[in-house]
Amino acid sequence: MKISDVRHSESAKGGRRISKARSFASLRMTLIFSTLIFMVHCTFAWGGTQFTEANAKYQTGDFKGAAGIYEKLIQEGENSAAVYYNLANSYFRDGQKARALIAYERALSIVPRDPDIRWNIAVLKSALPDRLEPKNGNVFALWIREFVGPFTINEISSVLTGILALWILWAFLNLFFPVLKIWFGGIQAVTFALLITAAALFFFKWQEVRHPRVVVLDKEVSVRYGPSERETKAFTLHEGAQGAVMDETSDWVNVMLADKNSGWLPKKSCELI
Amino acid sequence: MIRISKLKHEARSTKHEYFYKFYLASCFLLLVSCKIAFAEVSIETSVSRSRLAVGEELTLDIIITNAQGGISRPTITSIDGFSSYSQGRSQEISIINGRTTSRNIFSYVLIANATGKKTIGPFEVDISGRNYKIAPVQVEVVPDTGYYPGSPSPSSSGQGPVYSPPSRALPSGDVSNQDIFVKAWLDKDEVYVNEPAVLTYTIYTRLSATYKGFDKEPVTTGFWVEDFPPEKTMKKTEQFFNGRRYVAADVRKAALFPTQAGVFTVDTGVISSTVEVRQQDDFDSFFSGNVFGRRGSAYPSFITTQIFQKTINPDKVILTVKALPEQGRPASFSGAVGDYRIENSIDKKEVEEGNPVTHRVRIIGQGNINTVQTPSLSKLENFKIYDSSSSANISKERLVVEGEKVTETVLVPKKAGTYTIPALDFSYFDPKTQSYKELKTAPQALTVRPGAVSAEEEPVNALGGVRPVEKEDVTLLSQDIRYIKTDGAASPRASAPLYRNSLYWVLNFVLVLLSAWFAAMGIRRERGMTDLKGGRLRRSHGAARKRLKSAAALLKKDKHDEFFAEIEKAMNVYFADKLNVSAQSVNADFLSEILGGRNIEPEILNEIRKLFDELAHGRFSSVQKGKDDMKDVYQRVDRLITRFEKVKLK
Repeated sequence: MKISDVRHSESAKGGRRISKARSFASLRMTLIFSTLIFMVHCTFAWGGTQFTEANAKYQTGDFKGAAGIYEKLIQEGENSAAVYYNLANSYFRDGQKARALIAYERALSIVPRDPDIRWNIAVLKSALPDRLEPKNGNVFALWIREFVGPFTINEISSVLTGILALWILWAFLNLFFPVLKIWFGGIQAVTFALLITAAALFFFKWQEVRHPRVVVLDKEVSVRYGPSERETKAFTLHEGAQGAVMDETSDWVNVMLADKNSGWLPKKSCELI
Repeated sequence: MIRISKLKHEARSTKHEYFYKFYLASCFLLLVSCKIAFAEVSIETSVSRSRLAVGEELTLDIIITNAQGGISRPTITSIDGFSSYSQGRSQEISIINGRTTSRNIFSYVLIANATGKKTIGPFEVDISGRNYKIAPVQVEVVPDTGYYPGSPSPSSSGQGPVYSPPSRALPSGDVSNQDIFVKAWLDKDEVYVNEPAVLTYTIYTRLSATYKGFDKEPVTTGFWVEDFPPEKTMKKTEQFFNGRRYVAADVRKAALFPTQAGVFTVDTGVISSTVEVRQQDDFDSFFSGNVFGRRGSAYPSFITTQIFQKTINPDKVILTVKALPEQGRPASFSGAVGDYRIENSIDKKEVEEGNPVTHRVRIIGQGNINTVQTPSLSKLENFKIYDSSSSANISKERLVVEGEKVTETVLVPKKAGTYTIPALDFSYFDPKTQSYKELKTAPQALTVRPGAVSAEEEPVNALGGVRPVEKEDVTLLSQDIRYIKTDGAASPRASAPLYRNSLYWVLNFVLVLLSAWFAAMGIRRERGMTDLKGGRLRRSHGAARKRLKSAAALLKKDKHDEFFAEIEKAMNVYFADKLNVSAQSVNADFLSEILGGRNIEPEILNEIRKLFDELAHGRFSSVQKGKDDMKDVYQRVDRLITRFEKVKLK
């Protein structure tokens, strides 16, 4: 998958919804409406039988077969966290660690508080050879990452807008019911603090997610100082190593690792999360 | 490398060559056919080496077998390119099956002093008055390799007489490296990680030397070192090294177990020894001295000895350590290299619950037994496992590090039943076959009988109460991924990030604008309520204008009294608002009093006074003013207010 695809469309393979409808739905202004659509969708289009079939294959040990069905489901738009998670498990059992990691990360980006996904990612990462940890990490940044980790960017965005709406509500009530003024002083201060916090969280989460990430697929790949085979080798990465995409050419991506090392990686040896 | 050239029974016969040949043939026939009891004379020439460097020595042995009667010394004339010294003569006589064999050996040491292919001999020897010819020997002398610099060169020419001792300068003060040195050497150049390489220090000396120990111990970073105990009697051997004869003895041996792969240079340290040097010139006694203890000499040892301290730096040794192969490495491998076997046992086959059982694992074999990791029992259900203790026993006989490691683990069964203590996997790398070997311990059956104590306590709980049990942490036995999700219908789907959606930001922007507007409104209202004076000031002009307007309307309607009342009110309220006082208190005196102190044009003040007067006059006089007057008043008030607006109070 091209990186540019992901930047502009959604993270799943082949999003098929129309952009206008999508933006409308994602705004959650018509929450009930979308829920209704979702329910209808579930009833008529939900690939429940295929999902069950794939699960049965997984149970019997046919991990390749199971993975095939899950992949097909995703292509058909069934890009739910459960499908990604099960696909990741199939890949893992099939020995494809990097692909498993990609699918786990996709599932986690949908449901970041799912303990099973977190556990499996931890198990998988314990079997990866590259140590990718921030060097002399500052405690505050670490703490922030821990804090925003369990939330999706959409959740934080929604909360930010919600608090903004609340703030306006107070301002409105304050204007038209001056009697309530005594109460509103404190409430407004608290709301304002919340607003600032939410904005800060949004900023940190945005920092985290604004660069798409890639996972190395090859067993071993040389990362170079420039987007060419002629460039000097900077370091070597192994299967499952993750990095943020900072730049790209037609065949290469510039990745930055968690320890702030960066270099160019051939696109064919990695895949976007 | 001993080259023997044989000259068999060749009598010297210059005159009758043919006769000689005939004689030889007939003798041979006689020998074969009659098997007579006495053997014929044979002379062999042997050299210790056929190739040597300038300054090096070779030993020439002339072996005369089965010579009857007296043998004179071989006539050795000067040998071209060599200095020669006699080493003496030895005689061996053996009688086997009544057959007597005798050997006479004349030994000579030859020191080369010119390069090239050299022929040693031919020489002659008289046996029982007969003259025999000794076959010549070819040797090659190559230029000095300079391996040991500072070697004392042998006597200059080699033209000198055979028996004369050389004018060889013995080391004085300093004992040169050539006469004593230490070689540190490894039995292998290349080993695997944890495979031992034996480091040996061999001292080579031509002098009487005593080994004192190490001034500086070898640096063995990166190795686990097992020193072999010193032998009780140091074995001395005689060795040729670079063509010279040395007494060699191994002074120290240690097994080095490399702990990591790579190429290592071992700093072999500094060895200390004392050297006894005899201050003498006599060559023969030098060789017959205590150094070699060889053939005796007729010379008495009249000599003085001197003892020197000598420190010796052996050359560093280089060892290549190979990493253990990845291929075929068993999961249970934990670094053991060598040759091992494993045994296990339990001390009791049957035990009451709560009583300890000792599981003992013995690993026996060759290798670095100290670092061998005994496989440990993983979690066992219904057993409490206590930390194990291990002891290692190492022997270092015959240059092999071997021994056994015994690990004892105490198990306490918590529940009655029949259990099997599972087999433990142990694997090691065998450098001989270059392969991994896997071993298993035997599974041990254990019967656990119910304990007597618990049976006694049972009645306490007869009524169905519970007895608290000891809590234990739930520990993970292994790490694996969790199972797949079986219900996918309710699972949330991937959605596009909101922050990439412009509508989201438009909404947020609208919300921010709205809140800003509400806030502004609120602030404005609040200010209006709190700032009364400012409000009046701000409103004063508008209010006055309003009143003037209604006054103008009254003027049009020609309502005289109402007009004046309105005008006056306009004036009063206007100035009251301006000065923040009540409208009732406003009059001409009050205004001139308040405004007089301020920087206001007197013209305005006059006009104010005049207008107030006129207004009071107009309102209260019985004479009604004309419409023109009213208009005039109106215009003047209007002008006054306009002018007063420009006045800055304060």
